[in-house]
Amino acid sequence: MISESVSILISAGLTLMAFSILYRENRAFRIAEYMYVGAGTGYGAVLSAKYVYDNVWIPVTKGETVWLLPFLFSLPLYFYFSKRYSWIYRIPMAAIIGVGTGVIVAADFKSRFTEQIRMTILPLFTAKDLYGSFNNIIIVFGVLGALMFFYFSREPKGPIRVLTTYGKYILMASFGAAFGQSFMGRLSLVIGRFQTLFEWPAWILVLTAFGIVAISVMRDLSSKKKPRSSA
Amino acid sequence: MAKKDNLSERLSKIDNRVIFLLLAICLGLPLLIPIGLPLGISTGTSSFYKYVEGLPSGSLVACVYEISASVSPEVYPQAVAVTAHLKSRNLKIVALGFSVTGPMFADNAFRDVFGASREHELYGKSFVNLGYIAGGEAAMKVFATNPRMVEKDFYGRDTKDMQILQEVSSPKDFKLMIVYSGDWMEPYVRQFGDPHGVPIASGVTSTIVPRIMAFYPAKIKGYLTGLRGAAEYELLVKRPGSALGGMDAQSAAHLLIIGLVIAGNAGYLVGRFRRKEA
Repeated sequence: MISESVSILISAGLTLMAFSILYRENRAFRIAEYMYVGAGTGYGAVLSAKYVYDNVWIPVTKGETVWLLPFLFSLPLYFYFSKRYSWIYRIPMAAIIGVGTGVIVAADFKSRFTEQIRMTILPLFTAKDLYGSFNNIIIVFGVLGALMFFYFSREPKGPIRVLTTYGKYILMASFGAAFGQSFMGRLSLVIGRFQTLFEWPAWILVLTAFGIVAISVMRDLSSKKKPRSSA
Repeated sequence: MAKKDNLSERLSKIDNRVIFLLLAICLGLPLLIPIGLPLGISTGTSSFYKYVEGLPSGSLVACVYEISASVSPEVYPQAVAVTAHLKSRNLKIVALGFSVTGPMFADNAFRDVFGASREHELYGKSFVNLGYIAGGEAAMKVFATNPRMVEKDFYGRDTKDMQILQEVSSPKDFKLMIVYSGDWMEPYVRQFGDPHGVPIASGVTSTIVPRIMAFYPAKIKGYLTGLRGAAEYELLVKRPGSALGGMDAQSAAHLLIIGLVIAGNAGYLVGRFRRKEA
């Protein structure tokens, strides 16, 4: 119970420190920012080291020396930090990029190119499903219009111009939808933090933070010095 | 005497901090005093739920946790609601992560739903946390070829004797792969969906959804959209949680932003009209 309260207090304290940037630049925000980066990097480093320990050290100590090969092949990556021998790090990096590209490109051609084209070949009218037909018309002409919008070899005239304009509106609608979704996502993050701030012991910190901000605002107003906005 | 600012000028001069304060009030009040606004179930969530409902009891489900701290408020509530559903349907869960922090959230989800993780009597029989698999998409391809490649689980235990993994010999043994992520879904479609025919469902951040929709319903069987998707799923599995509690706040904040956008545009148009008149 005590550990849970301490955990909530730490979480809420760091949240308030991070939110403090909304009023103005300050040290509390910087501390929270550096702690976030440090904790994330530290956790990643420890887990990566554990991965090497589990997958290289343990098998090698059991006699499975073949696992040394990928390990030794990856060591030259550290030459990145040497000015004189930095070219050596390019050898394993080239292998990583080559394998990664090979793994992705072949499969990507199917999933994001041919399959997407196949999915766009839709019936424009189905008597039993008028709503579906309406959606299909939007999809088919939306794809054609968006593609035509990026066709620059000839000046759009007549029906091509209509299709290009339609494509432009479809693109704008999709950008708007993407922006709306992004905004909704960002709000969800804030809500998640607010829920932490409204848990019991965190209230003490929230009230304290409000008090500090109120005093700061009054000082700024009384000295007639307009505080600098962070955004 | 200084000339009085008109409406459009006053709107354009609003201090950002006033908007932050208004937003904080709109988010905070509904959390303290819930309104209980109605919530409809979207198509992606409904498809996700129905697909899980249609799986035979005892089927294997792979749950890929690509959750980091920055996306957890949106995606973690989804993971908890879905894990509760999988448990209630008696489905077997193989959790893993191709990102460093993912398996930590898998551990938390098991603790929230099962009450314990590695200490639970069903650990290794009904659910397992294989931990982090390094190597990004190349590692996904290897895992798709040999799902028993992981010798140690998240807690360092040997996996070869675990009952749940005896049932896995190829990716096709997974009747569903659920990916919780704040990133793209294409790698899973490329490495599991297309080549091996593994059905995929996803719980993602709202930002990613426009990209997911291109794959729905052919490649991705269902998807949860951020906190809203989590709230809808909580409603479907009758397990109210933090996501459902946050929906009123989200709706209130959306109303505020719509109001501000309308006010800003109205102010701009009025200003332009007056400038033309002058």
